[in-house]
Amino acid sequence: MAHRDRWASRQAFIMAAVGSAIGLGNLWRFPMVAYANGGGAFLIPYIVALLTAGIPLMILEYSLGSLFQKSSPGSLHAARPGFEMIGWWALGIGSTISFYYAVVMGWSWDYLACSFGRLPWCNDAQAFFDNLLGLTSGPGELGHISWPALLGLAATWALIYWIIKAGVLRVGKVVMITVPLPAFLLVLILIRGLTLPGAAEGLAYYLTPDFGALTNAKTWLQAYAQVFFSLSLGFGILTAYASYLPKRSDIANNAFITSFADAGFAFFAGFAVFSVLGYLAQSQGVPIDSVVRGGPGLAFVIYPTAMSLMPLAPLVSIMFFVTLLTLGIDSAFSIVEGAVAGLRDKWKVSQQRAALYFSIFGFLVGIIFTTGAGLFWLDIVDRWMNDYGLVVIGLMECIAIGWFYGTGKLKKYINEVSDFRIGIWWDIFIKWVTPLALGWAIVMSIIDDFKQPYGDYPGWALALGGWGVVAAIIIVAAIVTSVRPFRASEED
Amino acid sequence: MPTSAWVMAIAIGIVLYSGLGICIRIAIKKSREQEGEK
Repeated sequence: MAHRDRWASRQAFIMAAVGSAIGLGNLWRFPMVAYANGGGAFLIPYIVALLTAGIPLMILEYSLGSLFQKSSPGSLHAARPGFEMIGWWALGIGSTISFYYAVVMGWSWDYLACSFGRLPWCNDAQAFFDNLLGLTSGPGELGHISWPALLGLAATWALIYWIIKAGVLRVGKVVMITVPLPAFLLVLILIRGLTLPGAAEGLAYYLTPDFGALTNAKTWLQAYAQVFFSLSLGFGILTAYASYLPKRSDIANNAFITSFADAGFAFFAGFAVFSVLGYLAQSQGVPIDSVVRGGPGLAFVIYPTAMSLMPLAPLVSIMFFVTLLTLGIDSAFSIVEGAVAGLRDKWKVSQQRAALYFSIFGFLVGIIFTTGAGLFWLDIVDRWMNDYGLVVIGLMECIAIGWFYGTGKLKKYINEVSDFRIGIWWDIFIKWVTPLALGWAIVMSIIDDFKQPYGDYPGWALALGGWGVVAAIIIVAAIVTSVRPFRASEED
Repeated sequence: MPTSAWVMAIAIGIVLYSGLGICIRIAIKKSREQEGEK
């Protein structure tokens, strides 16, 4: 019987799970989604989505790992052999996300170095596209590899490998730094932001509620999507992490703590973001709408521009990019750990070897995103992984467990081990509410893509980077599932 | 900031951070109970 790694403590597990959930999206996605969907009023559908979809699905993923003591494919196989492919599919989606997530972190390394050395492209908005990325005219023109981006990518994978190779004991130690540190730094950035002129106007944009938005179906759809993406659901991470807990460890309360911490951080991050946006708008004498941008544009264009105008600019810049790196690294290595755990469970390879092979492969695949067309490909792959990858996995998990395995068996186990009992509400959410919300999100995405091709990219690029990547992941998941089935004698 | 923005900020803050605080408190209490049983 193989020995399974264990977290050093419950605190280490919770910190790792919180670190996985709190990522770059909490800083650059949540505040923008809230702003665009009713401001402060968006928090109402967001909390409803958290309680009716995010927390129930997190309880489901934790309970699978805790009960079966295996990674996502192994746990789903143990629930019913036919479900194994869902687990590999999830790991395929997660792995693909890690390939470009590491590239974004690589940019953060570059900007951190830039903050110390005051390189010329640091404070110029257009420099991100021209000098760092060497952005070309479209996905068909690859251009050249950006060496700073490639070096940053190598640094990220080296760090991920170093953390993952020693297993969850090292992960547990690393997250004791990488979870509280960005929260602390964000407090400092917020204090800096609040003391700047224009901050109050920025916060008013973020928080002033437009209750009319609550009657718009799109607002609710965005709330469910944001909760789902933010909580690391559908990656297979949470199942792998929970499998390192001793059997009979709490499930329900851990899920509530992780979810509330993630939402609390996102809400708080909005203050840091919008106070600085308010300052930037006032400094440039433009309306706030014109400086509001999410995603990499916020982190690498808007924020650096704002910081360059502040007193103590280098210090604020260092704090900001250390925040980005520490926010991102625990999300990145959690995705890799989820995949490595799956490979270990099935092929019995060592943690160190699985981590090494995965890191090298991830680095090599990531090179495509360091070319001049990398940002276009990143944007396309990201959209498909989120809207047609994670959401589909979440839907299939709900159907597989809710309708075939049975929520009753899992709930009995959850209630035996948890700090508090969960009621009939969990069955209803897993069987009905969450799948309906996720199914609705998928249908809306398909309708949107029929109406207007995503990002006005050429059809061949969307077919290759979108549907092509999704199809490749499904094929690989099917092959991995069929080549060497889990055997009962191999179960820990 | 308009009053409605303040109200939303405070209300949402109370829900999220008190929810987190209550769950952490339960976890600490249960952990102590389990240690006591050992």
